Amino acid sequence: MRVSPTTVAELSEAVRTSTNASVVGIGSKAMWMLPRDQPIEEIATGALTGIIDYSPNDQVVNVRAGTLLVDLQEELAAHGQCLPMVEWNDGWSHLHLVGTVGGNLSLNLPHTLEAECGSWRDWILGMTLVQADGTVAKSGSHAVKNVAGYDIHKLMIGARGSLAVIAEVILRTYPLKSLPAPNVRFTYPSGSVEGPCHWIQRVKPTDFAQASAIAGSFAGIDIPATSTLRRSLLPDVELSRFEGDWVMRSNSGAKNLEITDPAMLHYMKRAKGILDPTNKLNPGTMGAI
Amino acid sequence: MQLSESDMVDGLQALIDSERVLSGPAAQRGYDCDAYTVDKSKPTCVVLPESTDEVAQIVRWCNQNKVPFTARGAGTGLSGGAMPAQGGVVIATKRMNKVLEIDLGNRCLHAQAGIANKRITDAVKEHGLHFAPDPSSQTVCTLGGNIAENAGGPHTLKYGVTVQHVLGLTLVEPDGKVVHFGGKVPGGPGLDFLGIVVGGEGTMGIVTEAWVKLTPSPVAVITALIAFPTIRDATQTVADIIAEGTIPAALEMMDRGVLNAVTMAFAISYPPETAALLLIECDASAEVEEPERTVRKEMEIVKRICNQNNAIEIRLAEDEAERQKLWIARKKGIGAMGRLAPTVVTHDGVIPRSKLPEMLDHVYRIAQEQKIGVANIFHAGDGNLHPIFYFDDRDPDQVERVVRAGEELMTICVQLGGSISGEHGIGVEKADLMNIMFTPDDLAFQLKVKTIFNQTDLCNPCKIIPNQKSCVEHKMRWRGVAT
Repeated sequence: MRVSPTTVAELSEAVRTSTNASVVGIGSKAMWMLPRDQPIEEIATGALTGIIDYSPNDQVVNVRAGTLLVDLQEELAAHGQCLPMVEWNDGWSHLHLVGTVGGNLSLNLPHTLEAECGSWRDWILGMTLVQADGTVAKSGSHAVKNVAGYDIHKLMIGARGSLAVIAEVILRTYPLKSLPAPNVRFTYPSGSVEGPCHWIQRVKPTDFAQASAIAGSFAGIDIPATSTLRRSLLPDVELSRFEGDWVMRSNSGAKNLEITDPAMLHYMKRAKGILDPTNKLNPGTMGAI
Repeated sequence: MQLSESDMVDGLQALIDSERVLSGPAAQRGYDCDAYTVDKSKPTCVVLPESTDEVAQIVRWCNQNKVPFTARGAGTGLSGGAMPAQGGVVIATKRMNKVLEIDLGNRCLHAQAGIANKRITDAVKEHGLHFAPDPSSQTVCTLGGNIAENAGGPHTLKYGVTVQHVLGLTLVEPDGKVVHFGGKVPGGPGLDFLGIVVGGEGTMGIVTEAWVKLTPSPVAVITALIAFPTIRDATQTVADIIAEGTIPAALEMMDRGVLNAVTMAFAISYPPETAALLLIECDASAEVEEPERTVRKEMEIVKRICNQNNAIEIRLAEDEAERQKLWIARKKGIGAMGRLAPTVVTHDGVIPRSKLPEMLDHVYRIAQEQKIGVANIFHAGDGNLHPIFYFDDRDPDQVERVVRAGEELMTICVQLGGSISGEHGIGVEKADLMNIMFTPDDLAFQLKVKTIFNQTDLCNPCKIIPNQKSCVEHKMRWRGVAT
């Protein structure tokens, strides 16, 4: 069964009555997710769209989570603003150019201007979310600086819809004219094969030159400012790992999400148990926690 | 069963050197509040651990004996975050002040939580780097305190608040286990627990060590002090600069009330018709192409907007000495307020920046209606107000009017889309005001998130969320209303 709520109230009802739900935006990020059993219901937030309010002078926009990122960018561009994520039509465009606001922040993939302009955790000022029992809760405000209460919206970033369902997001925007040019190195060595498996790896700055050199024979891009490299690999190809690094992958089955840090796993398990005690929201999406 | 003071001292002295366990009236009075002095509550003991391991042992002992504990850095917090609300043990980090490692290649530094903010910058200054968060108390306030409160400062407009400068941390959980979050490589798969612990006001465990990001120091800086004939001209200038897309390093505002105090204290003069001053700083590091030119260009835009809004005088600092002089009014402003009245209360509301002109009108109206003095000195670029009410706290009627004024002020901040705290935290000071901003459902969710880390409520109890169980009866005592 698939439901596409168009209001927060409908979303709340859908979540409340579900027992084992796949929570998606429009489903464009499936290639990055862990494989899992067929859920009973699908709750798609892709119909919960539109800007609720936008104050260009304040550089703050409040948008429904199902709004396509491209649609939001277009609205912001009309006022000389944007969310500072720049991507190219180079085989990586699906990273951010497709999908919804909620879906993108739930996956939290690295982007090319992170060092200069920050990422979702820097842009999200507040959120409306639907808890596993259907209760609606808000956090944050429209102000760009705020320390009132716990930053619960930060927990939703990268949570892949497993803790609560995001309904609305208050974001700070960025003036287009002061957007820096991304410092990116394309590596498309001759004879390199572009595979279907995306590999995103971030290492310590001191390991970056070596990591990049080792990965040099594969097609992709380097983002030196954040010591991040992306490569398109054939299935089952592994690149070298470095101390303290992390990797996110697509089309690689169980390797799509590999979290081994014991403290992270311990608290992920606890967060899931407290916020979604019956394990109804995207079960298994964060691994076996 | 409640432990006696001597049982507690014995128990703690078995864990660490006995001279680092303080008790008795002097210690108890010295640690009964932080820089928010309205609410006070005495600890039974104060301990001065020197390592993560000692903190963990103390926390485990507190758990075994059901004794509440509260971490404390330098005690400069402004919302009672370090006040031991239910007594017990204050764990003061002042002996944990070591730099553990400097990694210049990865531009980060590992330090114990009790290190003073300013000392981090001192340790790396010669390499052209600094630790960016710069609260006014930075010469004494600690890294751990900055992390607990997610501290800001004048330069956070451009550089961001504490959470943007913490890469990893070591946390003694509320049950005494030691965990590490983050590291030298930021981001990554998983959940942003680091982002929750930073700003958790010490309720999610005790941060004992942290890896912080080092930021290239500016090599080109221009500071300007601009005088305006009306408050509206100054607030409009702030709104216009933000709307233009220019991000100065700092964008601070002071009104006539502050100027009077500063003029008296430091013999600084301004054009007689000045109603408000803006302090605007533009800077660039060596990583920017042509830093000097970039900064000059930015300042030209700023000057144009100031002139469009009727600036009377634009004073530019030509060198570091000049620059420091221009900053005096801002940095010493609140201290100078002490000349105007026996007591001052500084609020910390935030609003969307375009609402500044409207909000300032409210601030003056409320002060007039409640017949109390008000001065404004604040981070205008972030929309972070610091209205300072000055009054005589020996007069209960004045105290009541100040409290009423504060509540109305916060209510309007929330109505305008803002928040009741931009950087000082909620602590005990504003816990009751959380209801203005959040519904019971919102607060219940926050409480759930707190229990991810804190399930026994021994770790810094009664903070942030109003009316937590067993805190209500304590409140009267903090205020000195009951004994």
